[in-house]
Amino acid sequence: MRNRQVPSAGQARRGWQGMIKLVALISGGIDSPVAAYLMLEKGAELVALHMDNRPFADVQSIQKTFRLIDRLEEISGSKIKRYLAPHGKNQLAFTRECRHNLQCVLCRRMMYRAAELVAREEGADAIITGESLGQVASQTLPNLRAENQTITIPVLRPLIGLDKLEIEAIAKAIGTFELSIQPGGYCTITPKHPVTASTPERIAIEEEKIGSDRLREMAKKTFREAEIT
Amino acid sequence: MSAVLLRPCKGSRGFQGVPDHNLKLKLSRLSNLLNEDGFKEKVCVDLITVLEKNGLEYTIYPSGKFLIKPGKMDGGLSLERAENEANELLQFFEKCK
Repeated sequence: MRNRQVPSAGQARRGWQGMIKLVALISGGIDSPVAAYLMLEKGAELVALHMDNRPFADVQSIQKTFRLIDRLEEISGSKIKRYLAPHGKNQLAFTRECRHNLQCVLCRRMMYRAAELVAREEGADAIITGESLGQVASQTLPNLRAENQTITIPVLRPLIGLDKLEIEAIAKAIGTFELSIQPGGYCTITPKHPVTASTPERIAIEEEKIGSDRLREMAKKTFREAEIT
Repeated sequence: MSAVLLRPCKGSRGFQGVPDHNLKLKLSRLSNLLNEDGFKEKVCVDLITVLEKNGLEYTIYPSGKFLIKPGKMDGGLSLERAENEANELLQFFEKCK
């Protein structure tokens, strides 16, 4: 991995400046701010989307995420528009109506749907996520495939081939690591035994329990009710 | 019945509680009983129930594991208060095993 130095404000590289606008799904964790940074470094314009998981997450996760976005703004020297989208009701619907071991895949598919709506609104070209292959249950190749197949916009995964130590090294270099490891942010509704190899067919069966019209409406509602700052 | 209380991570504002043995709680009944005692239910499904009372948020699983954390933006939760809250919860757990 190449060496990185802590960038100062506005020193990120500008190769793609004015050419690419992206919606970054940002949680309070270590990975997604690093993924967003890597694209900022290239000069992409970012819009941040945080899925508010309450009551299945702590309010601290929102505070943490906003601090992380503040840091990304410092690094890039540019303002990042923020969407805070309510996701707790979606999680609840999946828990009530679908197989619980697929919760994480269903959750991510809904995040993608909401992100795609934000991207359309903002005129963005793609979505960025902090996924790294095999790092957690929802990030196996079969699950990524199943998650992808709900939207038409590209999903960029700058961290896909990095391991956790490599991601942490970048996070430390850019000053997001210490913010990311602050308490709060973990999801309380994750299944004990999440599926690691779902298929689009299996997901379709589960989502049919909710219905495609209702799923679309849930995504729209999540987008419509998002707080924008 | 007793429970071990621990902070899920360094600096956490809340506590996780693990009962001394695995339970099979009926969460809907538990939630009703807690509601009668002044708790406000936020969510109750077979797998999880989330309630609020006096600025604290309680997340309870059928196994009896639970989280107690401050529901508002500021402030933490002392071990002493967490123990009191946990003891209160355990009394309700006894009724819903």
